[in-house]
Amino acid sequence: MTLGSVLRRLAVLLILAAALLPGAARAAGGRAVPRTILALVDLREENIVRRTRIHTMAEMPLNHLGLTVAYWNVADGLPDLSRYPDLRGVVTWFTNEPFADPQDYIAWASAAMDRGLRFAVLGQAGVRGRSNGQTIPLALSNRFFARFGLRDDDGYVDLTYRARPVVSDALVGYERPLIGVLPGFALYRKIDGRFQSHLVIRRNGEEATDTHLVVTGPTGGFAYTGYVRHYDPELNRSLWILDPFAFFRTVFATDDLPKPDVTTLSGRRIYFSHIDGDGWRNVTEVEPYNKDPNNKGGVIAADVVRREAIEAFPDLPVTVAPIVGDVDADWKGTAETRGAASRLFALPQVEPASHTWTHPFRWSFFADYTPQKEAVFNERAEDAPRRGLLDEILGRNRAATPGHEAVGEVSDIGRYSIPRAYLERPFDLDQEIGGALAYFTRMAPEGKKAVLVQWPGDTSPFAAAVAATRKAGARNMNGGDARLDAEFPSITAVPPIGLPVGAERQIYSGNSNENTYTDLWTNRFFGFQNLINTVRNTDSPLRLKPFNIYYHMYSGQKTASVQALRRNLAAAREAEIAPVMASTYAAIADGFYATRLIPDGERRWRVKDRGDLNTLRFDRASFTAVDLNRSTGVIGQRHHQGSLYVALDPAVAEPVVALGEAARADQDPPVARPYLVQGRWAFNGLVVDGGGFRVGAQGYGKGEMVWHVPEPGRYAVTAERGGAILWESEADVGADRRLSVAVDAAAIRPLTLRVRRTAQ
Amino acid sequence: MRANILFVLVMLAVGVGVSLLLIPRGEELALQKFRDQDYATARLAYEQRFDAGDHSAATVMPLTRLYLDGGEVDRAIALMEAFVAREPEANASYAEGRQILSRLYRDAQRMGDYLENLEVLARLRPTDENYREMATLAGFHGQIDRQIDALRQYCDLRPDDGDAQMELGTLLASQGATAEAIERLGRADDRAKGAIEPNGRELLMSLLLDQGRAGEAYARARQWIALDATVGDTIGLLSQLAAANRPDLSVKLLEPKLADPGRPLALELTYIDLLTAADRMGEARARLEALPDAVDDLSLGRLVALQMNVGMGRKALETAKGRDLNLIPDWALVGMAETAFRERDEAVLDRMTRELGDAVLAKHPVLAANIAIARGNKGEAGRQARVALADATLPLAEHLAAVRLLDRAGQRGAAADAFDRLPLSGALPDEVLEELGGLFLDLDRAKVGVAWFNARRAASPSQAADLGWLRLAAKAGDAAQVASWLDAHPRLDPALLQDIAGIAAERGASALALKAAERVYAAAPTPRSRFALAVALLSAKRPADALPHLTAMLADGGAEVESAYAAALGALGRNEELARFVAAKLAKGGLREEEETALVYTLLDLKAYQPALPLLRDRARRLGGEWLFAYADAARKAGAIGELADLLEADLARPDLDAKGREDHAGLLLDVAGPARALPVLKQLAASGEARWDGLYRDALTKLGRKDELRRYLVARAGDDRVPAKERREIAFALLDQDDKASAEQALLRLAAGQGPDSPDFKQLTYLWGPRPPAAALDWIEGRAKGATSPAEQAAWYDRLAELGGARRVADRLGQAGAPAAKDLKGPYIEALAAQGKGKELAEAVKSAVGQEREPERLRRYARLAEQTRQRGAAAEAWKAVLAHKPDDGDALRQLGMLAYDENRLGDAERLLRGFLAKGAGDYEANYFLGESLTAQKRPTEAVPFYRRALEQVRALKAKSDNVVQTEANILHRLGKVDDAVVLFEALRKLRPADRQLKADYASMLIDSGRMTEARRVLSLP
Repeated sequence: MTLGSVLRRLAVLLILAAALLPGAARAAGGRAVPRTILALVDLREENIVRRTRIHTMAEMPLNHLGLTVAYWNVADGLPDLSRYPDLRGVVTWFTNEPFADPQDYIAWASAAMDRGLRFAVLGQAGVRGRSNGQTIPLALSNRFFARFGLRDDDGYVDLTYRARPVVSDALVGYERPLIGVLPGFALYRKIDGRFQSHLVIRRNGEEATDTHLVVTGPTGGFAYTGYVRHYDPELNRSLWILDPFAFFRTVFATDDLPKPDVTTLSGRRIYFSHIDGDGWRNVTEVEPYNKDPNNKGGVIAADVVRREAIEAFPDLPVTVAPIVGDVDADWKGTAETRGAASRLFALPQVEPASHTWTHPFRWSFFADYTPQKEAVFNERAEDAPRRGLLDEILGRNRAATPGHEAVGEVSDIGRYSIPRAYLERPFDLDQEIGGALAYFTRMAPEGKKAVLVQWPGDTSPFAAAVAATRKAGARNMNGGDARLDAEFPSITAVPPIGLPVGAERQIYSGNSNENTYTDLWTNRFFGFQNLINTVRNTDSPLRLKPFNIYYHMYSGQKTASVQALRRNLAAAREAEIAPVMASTYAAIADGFYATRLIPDGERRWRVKDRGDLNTLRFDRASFTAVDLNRSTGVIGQRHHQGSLYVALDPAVAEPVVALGEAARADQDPPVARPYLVQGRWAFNGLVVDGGGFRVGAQGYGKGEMVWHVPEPGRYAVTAERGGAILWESEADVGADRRLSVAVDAAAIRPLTLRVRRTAQ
Repeated sequence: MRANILFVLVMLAVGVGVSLLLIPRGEELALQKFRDQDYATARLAYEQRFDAGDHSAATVMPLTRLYLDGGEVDRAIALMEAFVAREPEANASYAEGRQILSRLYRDAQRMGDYLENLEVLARLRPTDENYREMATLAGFHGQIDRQIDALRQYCDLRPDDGDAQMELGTLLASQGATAEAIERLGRADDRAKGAIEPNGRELLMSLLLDQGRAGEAYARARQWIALDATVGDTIGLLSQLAAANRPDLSVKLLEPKLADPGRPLALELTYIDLLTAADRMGEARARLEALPDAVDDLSLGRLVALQMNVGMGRKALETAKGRDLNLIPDWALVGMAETAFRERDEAVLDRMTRELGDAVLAKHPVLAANIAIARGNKGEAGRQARVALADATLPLAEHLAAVRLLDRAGQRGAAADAFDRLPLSGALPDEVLEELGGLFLDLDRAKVGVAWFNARRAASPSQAADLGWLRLAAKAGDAAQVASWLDAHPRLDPALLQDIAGIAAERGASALALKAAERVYAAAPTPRSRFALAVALLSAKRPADALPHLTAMLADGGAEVESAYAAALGALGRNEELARFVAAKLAKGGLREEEETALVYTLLDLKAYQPALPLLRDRARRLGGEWLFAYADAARKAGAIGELADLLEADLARPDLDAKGREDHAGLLLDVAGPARALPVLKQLAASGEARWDGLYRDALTKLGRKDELRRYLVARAGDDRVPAKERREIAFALLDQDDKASAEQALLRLAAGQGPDSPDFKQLTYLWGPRPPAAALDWIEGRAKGATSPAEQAAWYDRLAELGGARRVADRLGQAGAPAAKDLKGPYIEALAAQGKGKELAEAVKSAVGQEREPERLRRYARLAEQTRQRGAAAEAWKAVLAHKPDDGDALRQLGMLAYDENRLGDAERLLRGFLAKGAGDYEANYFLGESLTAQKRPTEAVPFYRRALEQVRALKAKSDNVVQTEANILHRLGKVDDAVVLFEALRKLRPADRQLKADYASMLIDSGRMTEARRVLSLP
């Protein structure tokens, strides 16, 4: 190459760089795709965000659509929208008239819609009257309804027996079809053809009586109260009438929004398991442990769980969170309870975590704590009757006292006669959170650190408590109690990813623990085996939650509960999963809220601030694939149930994902570059090298994985760590270009995989 | 001592005896272990008792409990199910067993079984609690019939529970069981002596009125009102009677209350309302006059509305004076505004505008749209116009104005759509007709408009109708009629005439256009009207009359006049003069290239080729391409062939001529100068071996009729291995065109000789041979198969042989000793059997192949072939083999799922179909049968999402067979949309009245939905 040609090439490169850089700079600094939905709630009616209709029922579908929810209490006036730069829309779900002056709200909402924000109005719109019960002129409220293409004709039909739906499309009848007695309804006439009616009810077969109860259009959508969900007060259960996914998808126009996904990793469903320490010290009834001649005092539940559910399943990681009060000698710990913790933490698949120091039951009690406030409980506890000789002879149990073996939810579940399990010394938030984490880190083997707080009690921490976890460099989890089975046959029982607590965020567990299956650990101790129904129903037809086995140490107390637990673990072993530690899931969940997606060209996004979240999902994507030539930092892609799950490379801080077309969804998109289809482990730092590649990997159990490679032929696969080869093998790749291997090497400590083509 | 010893021995014997008696026997041991919480031993003991034949409650109950303690709920259920199956219903332990089963079903989340068991329990122990629970659960799970049955039982047991009676009555009414609903509510009301809840009263009254039992309704209402009805409830009841066209009864009901001087104002107002409804206007006005103007805020709106209702507009304005206008209903405000407008009460109008502001505009969207247009806000104007159009209560004039505004807002399409939807039947006022005609015209609806106005003029003649019709008729009606109308109306607005002239000219109605233009020019002789007249004359084929006008305007007329002038010359056939005019313009120069081009084309159009040739020749040499062809065309027409041929030959000799130009030139030479003159040049070029000359040379030979020379040339090239294969293949087809099939076949055989069965040449051969090749061809293929060097290649040839009608040869050859052993040969053997429809042999061959075959696509093919020949077993094996190699194979999961469903293996069907649907949305059948599998497993709630998806997919199908429609009906039934399902079934039944299976399915669906009457009707149909 001559000097001249080199200079010419440099000049071309400089010109190209000049042309490209402003674009890149624009993209990097561009405005993120708005993902936040502002929920207006009235806490005078619903008390706390945790119990609002929007949080308990609407937020999960919104999360599934890639949206986050910020809450505003309308009792504090109307929010200043400039405080929410990332706003996509507004959702309301009132049951009454929350505004002192609805005219202000109507003006505020109109201005927001003029700004392009879309509104999802569920239930009552809140514009028919003032909060003091005074009605307002229809002309005013109709200004609001006109934004949804409707006019309120000031009528209400409570005798619905002559009414029938004449339009009822796919948005209606999601979990409950319109059968039986129709709920009463107001009369809404459609006045704007741009809006689509999804539910129209007609009386006496007369078209003139048509009322439009579910509509969507350019400004959002409206679903009238009574037709959003069916609620049975007797059973205290709800069923969606409206299809919340389809409704919110239409209202907030989410089809083009990449969905940060917390359910999937490396193309597989995430699995994690975590144990709260309650019942750690309980003596087991399980045979043969209850007849252990070497242990006169009885084997404790923690040891039974270790042997039956943890050591027997070395391929399934588990996070174990004891209570310091149960193990520390200065509190109620014994050599046996401490030893149980040490033995558990020593297992490679176990992650240490904290269930706090003294196990608060009712967190709100401690938000404004004083020792004097608690003293009354201490006295009551000391007054509690002790177990006498006659009780022992007759096998009678007296009420549990603090520090008794039945500590935890078992002691007084549901009624919490005392504010925390160990209340001999004053409550200290730093000790509960940071102190307990440090305690278990010290107790764990070198290299293991407790970085997760599993909320005990009512799992309703106040903001300072959540902030304390962040201050301690840890994540937090618990609450939510997801169920979706015959007993709870509705996604209204599937909670969102987490809950805003002041400026902090509480992350919910993936599934409910055994409490809700055992009537709060009072009977049917086998009930936890029904977990598999929720696991299955939250995977198909939509994957809504990871596979999470969450329980307490007292599961080791009963034969039935141990059997149920083992069945669940066996089901996990059979499932196609990507197991992670509970703290990893909490970090992924935190990433969901932080992720920003910067548009960077046609169907192309730069992913920023995603933290530990490494999957993006695109729905209705059977004929969509990642355009790897226009993407960076993408490890893999997989179609599942009509969606495309894209695996991002954790080693790349700001990956770029671009989409293209795919001919069919039942085959891997053909690409001239290796990519991951699915795998049990987590992968990072993919480097393509000719037809082969190398990639870092970490995970639990045998490393089953499928890669798409550009050429058929024979491939050599090696697993290495620190230059030493741990495992090697060869695999044939056929016309489907799928390289399937199961790497038989321990990958709890990260290793490197090398794949190269050895023959055609 | 002996006595002592004896005593000791006796005591010892007694002691041992007593001890033996105290040792527990088998049946006691189990219980003892149970009580001692030694569960393992207890369980063993009870199991031994059970195995020994003791299936009594004393064994089964504790054993069930022990299974539960061990976490084995399924085993416990099986044990208890077997127990209740054996136990006579009369035994108390049967009911106890059922009770336990209930709990077990619920705890195991078997909700279908749970509900069924509850039914049995309720029958055994018909308590109100059991039926209440049953009703609640059935209602929650959407089992309405079961809910009603349970509620009936409950209400019979608890007639005092008014809420439940109301619940049942409402439910019955919703299902159309009006008579029973009335009976039950009536009984409840009688029992409570009229003190049932207001909701129940309202429902009962409504149902009675539905049944035409107004008298009874009146009697009950009178009792309720007298008893304790609140003002609101009273008004509700009165409104119902009024809505049922019995305001007289309402008035009667209310009269006793009016005797009370302290009666609430709301009742007085209701009374006035009812008087109005009963058409007793005088009394209503009198009572309104008697009322004080100062009423509270809540009553103000109602009072004003009543005043407006009875035509007391001025009184209404007085009442509203000084009050908040927001308290008055919109329609009453509009009426007040109209009153104020009529009475020129500007103070009221100002006040309304000031105080209502945007609210008024929101109610008057046309006004709002006009203001928006005036302010240049087209978006807002369009929005307001749409609002106006959506309001069916607005008059037509407002709707027409809204359409116009929509058009003016730049939304032509939307305006036209809205216009089409307007109801234009009935008597429309004359004042809207002009605008209506204008919209017909502007929105390209002239033809429809003419018809509409013709009808209108016939039905109700008027000047307005004529004027509305005129422009439309000029555009799309009878032009002669318009002309007559013009003749009959000598004094018309020139602008209208100008419109008619323009419209008619555009349409080509030249006589009408001329008539109008003449009238315009006579009335206002301007250059514009003169030019319009000239154009109309041209259009009327009177160029001679047009020419003087145009000649007079030529000097200052510009391009428009020049074009018309040229057109006039052309129309007069004065082409030379025109050509001169054009050539002079061309020669004058100073033109842009496109103007030059236009003039050259004008010359060519005038057939004035000669003057165009110099410019064309220049461009042909300079630019080639299309100009070369234009020049060639002109030269040919001008008779300058020689000049053209010389130019072509000279250019062909130019070394700088590019390949494309050379080809163009050669082609033209052949075309223009003829093959004889071109042949030497072409032969020379073809000899160079370049393919493109080959075509021209062959073309020349063809044109000269030198067939032999051409065939020899082709055969020689086909045999020349230096010629690329692709070209030789093309030559083979050229030989076919020459009817030399033998040479063509030889050429292709030569090409295919060294290639496999997938080669393009063999494919050409198969095309040549057609779908049933001759025996020689089959021999050739078989020969290739026999001579193949590998089993794979041999298999491929046998595949082709089978495909091409040699299936029997393949089957005979490969199946000489049963299925062939070689893996590669199984495929063609199976294909051959499939082609011959030999299902049994094919099934055996497939079964023998699946064990060896590892290629999923081939296994898939085997499965499909087995399915085609209805070999379900073989197909299943093949699909299973596919699945073994590709565990997530969609086809296999789907087909095996379907097979499993067919064979009632519901668990397998669910697993497989779920697997298939995990990969994508799937098809409607897969979703439907997964739904069916779940339903059959008593998990209907889980099935719903799949039914819904199936329904979406069925509805998305472009064409639907009867079977698909029937499936759609079944899905609708599963989703509880029984009415929709009935519609589909009815349609199908009409199409296929003799289809007994359809009738049975339909009836079964109806029975399932509790619609027994309809079911009986369907079953009784012939």
